[in-house]
Amino acid sequence: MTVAWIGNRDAQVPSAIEHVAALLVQSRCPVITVDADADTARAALALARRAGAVCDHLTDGLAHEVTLFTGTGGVFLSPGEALRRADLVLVAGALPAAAGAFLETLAQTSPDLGGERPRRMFALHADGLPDGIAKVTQAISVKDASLPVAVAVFRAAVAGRGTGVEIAGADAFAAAAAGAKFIAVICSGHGCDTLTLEMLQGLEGDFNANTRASMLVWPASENGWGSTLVSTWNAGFPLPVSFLGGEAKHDPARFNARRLIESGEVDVWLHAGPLPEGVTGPAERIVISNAASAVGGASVTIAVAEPGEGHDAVMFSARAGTFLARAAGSKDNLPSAAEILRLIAGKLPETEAVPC
Amino acid sequence: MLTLIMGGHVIDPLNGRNGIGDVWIEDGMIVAAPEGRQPDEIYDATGCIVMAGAIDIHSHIGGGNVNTARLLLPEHHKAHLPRPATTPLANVGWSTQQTGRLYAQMGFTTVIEPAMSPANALHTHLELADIPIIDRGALAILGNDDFLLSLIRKGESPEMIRDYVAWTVASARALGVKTINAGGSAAFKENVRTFSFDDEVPSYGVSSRRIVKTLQMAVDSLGIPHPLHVHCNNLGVPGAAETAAVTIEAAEGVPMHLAHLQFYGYGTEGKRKFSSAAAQLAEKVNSTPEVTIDVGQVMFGQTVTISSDALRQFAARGGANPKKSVIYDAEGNGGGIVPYAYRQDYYGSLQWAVGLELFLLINDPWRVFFTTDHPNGAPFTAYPALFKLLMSREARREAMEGLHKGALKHTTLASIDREYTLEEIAIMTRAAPSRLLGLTDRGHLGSGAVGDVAVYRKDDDAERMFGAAEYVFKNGELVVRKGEIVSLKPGKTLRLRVQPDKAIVKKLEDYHQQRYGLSLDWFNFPDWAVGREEPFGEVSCRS
Repeated sequence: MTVAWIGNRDAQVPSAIEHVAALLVQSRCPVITVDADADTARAALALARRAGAVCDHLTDGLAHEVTLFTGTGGVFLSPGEALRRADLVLVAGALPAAAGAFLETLAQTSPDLGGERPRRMFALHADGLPDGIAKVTQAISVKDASLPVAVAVFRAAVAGRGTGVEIAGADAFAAAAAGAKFIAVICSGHGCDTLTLEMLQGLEGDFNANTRASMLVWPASENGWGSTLVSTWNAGFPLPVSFLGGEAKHDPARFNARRLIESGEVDVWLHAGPLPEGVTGPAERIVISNAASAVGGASVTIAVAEPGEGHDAVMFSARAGTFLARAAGSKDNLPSAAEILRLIAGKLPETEAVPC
Repeated sequence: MLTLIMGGHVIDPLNGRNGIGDVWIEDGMIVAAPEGRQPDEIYDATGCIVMAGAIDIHSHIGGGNVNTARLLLPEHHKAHLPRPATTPLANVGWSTQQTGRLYAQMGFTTVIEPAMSPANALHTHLELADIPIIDRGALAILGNDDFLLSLIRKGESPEMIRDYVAWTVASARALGVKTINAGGSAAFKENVRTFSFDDEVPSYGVSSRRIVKTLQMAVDSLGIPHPLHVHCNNLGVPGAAETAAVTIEAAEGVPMHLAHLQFYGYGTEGKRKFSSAAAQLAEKVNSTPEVTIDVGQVMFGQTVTISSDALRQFAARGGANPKKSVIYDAEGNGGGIVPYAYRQDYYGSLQWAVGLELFLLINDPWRVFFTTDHPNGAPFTAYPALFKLLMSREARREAMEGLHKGALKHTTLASIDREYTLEEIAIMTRAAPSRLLGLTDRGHLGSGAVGDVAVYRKDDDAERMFGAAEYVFKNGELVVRKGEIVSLKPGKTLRLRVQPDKAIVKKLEDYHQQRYGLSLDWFNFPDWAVGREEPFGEVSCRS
């Protein structure tokens, strides 16, 4: 079975690796993007360090979540505690589809810690909730308002300040909040920009003056959040991180991989994981993914096993709120992306990279 | 490979050595001088101090809260870039790579992360495994978790509680057990804002004292070498000395370790109602032989406080500098990250003095441990400066000149003449940690110990001497030469060899499925998950 291609031609994996290494050596500004397990993130960071590359994840919403932490912080909640303790839940903005099962569990259960009592759920501009959840969730909405405006107006209303704007569901929420023991605000960078997330933290802070409230951030991308955590301990910074010039640096705008790729600033783009849709640019593309054939337009494609499916892997789980080990369902003969990235790194010279 | 470290001043309290001599290493282990054999390599240690590699028993080097601190404060990392040292937060943050390098450069070869959430153990071990050179270990946190509090509330048997503690230690790959503001985080989630030793967690009717005593007995009966590691209630609060004192009294003849006692050494005298109670606390420790403590010394400058005491950290948010913080409500303790700058004002001066008083007034160097509670009191890179303060009353006198005189009046520091000897430093940082943690294979230079050796060029300035080791050997391999890293060989994470009872595993599986909808795989992970070859080293319990 062919597992590597240079352009459209079948190739031996060692040849493909040599070719990738040559591209990275010649590159004046390479970028490595990753959408996989923790070990792949480790290997991608090591390769980026060696190649003097930028390392990033391509999910837009992730940056909103990272900036919430680097900018202001806040009070946060694990999914397990939300499940067992929250008697009032506010879902704010759209959540990733992967959160659906958890919301369903929340809707079907009651908290058991801090005294048994029913759970009430509200949704503020939370578009796309599954029907089963929408049925038991009371909507809060501000007509013709964007989510940030709705959150701002809602916060003012809950605090008892006049807004001059009608907010459907706000009174019911305020009444519920007055008797709540633990309020969970559930949101995501998927549906909320950084400003909205900060405002939701402000709302939560208002509640925390008298009762307990906390925010469950459901990551816009589980692999993206896992990779960000790996980068944070490994390089000292969250993604995006750049090793251009040799030292790790973090700048969410300057090193945003999507921007770098689409603007043509980078000349080599290596991606490990399922290839994202809608990201294009003139750079030479290297794709390391569970591909059955050469990826169209890619200079090099190397097929690898799916993490947690074709090989044992550690993945970030939004449901557990931490990393979990996933044994392979049926191990195949393909290498892992991490193994390939390490082989590529082994072909690169150890000298520090020249600044971009 | 036979290595000879020749002619240094060997200080090895566990083996009674304190004089000029040689140290031999073969295949990674310390060996007796072999008769009739020539070494393959010789390191001339003439004019040097030779000690075992140092052991740090309490330093927050990895895990969810540590990484969240990095996430909250990317500006920390600038410390290790060629930028001005005055950059805000420039002296505190680092990556896993830097952690291993910086510790090794000072001659430390084993470091214990004291606060691992069992629910987040895999994450902690992933981070620890990325720290090069040094060996690591971690203490599992218990005492705010619903399962334990429910067992206590129901009056379950000591055997069942012991089984639960054993399962936690085994599944988390821990080296011991820590309790942090026992019951306080659970109470905080029920909107309790202050919590003392005899207060009860509302939904459980269980006091902090009862939780501590229950865990203390379980740890002791399991034969876990390290006594229960206790972070008391009321950390940082004026009058907290009373809380620490009643906790010490509660040891009742069974070993107990109190963490970062400096943060409890505060009385309520003076117009600011904030004074030193270190002398009284030191006396309490002196008269309670079953108690050991580490200090958590404050040094001046910018740092970040990282703690699984969510209640305390929530209260401390107002003092955040810069103005941002993270509080995390999670299973068990959760935690909080609050950046903070220790200034030479009244409060900072007093805290600094309290720590030194404790070091100097607790008589037995086998029972007082050298920590800054990194990074809470100061980053671990401040250790060399702290060694100097302990070893020189003149250095202390000079340092006090720049501090708040009113604060120092409320301490006894100026009246203390004691100076630590090199042997006492070796006890406090090598021999005693070895004994406290049950790490019989390190902390000394006897035959059969691992080849972890630190060699320092003698210098009247202890800060300079301990800041950059002449040589450091890890498992017999040279890793530092003249203060520079020469090898990044990976270390291991040390865990206790504990076999959990099958009945408690079944009970926990049911509990997690019913309460969280998650299997025990959340906690249990195979060794391969850490992603390193042979990531763990095993430590035995007492028989």
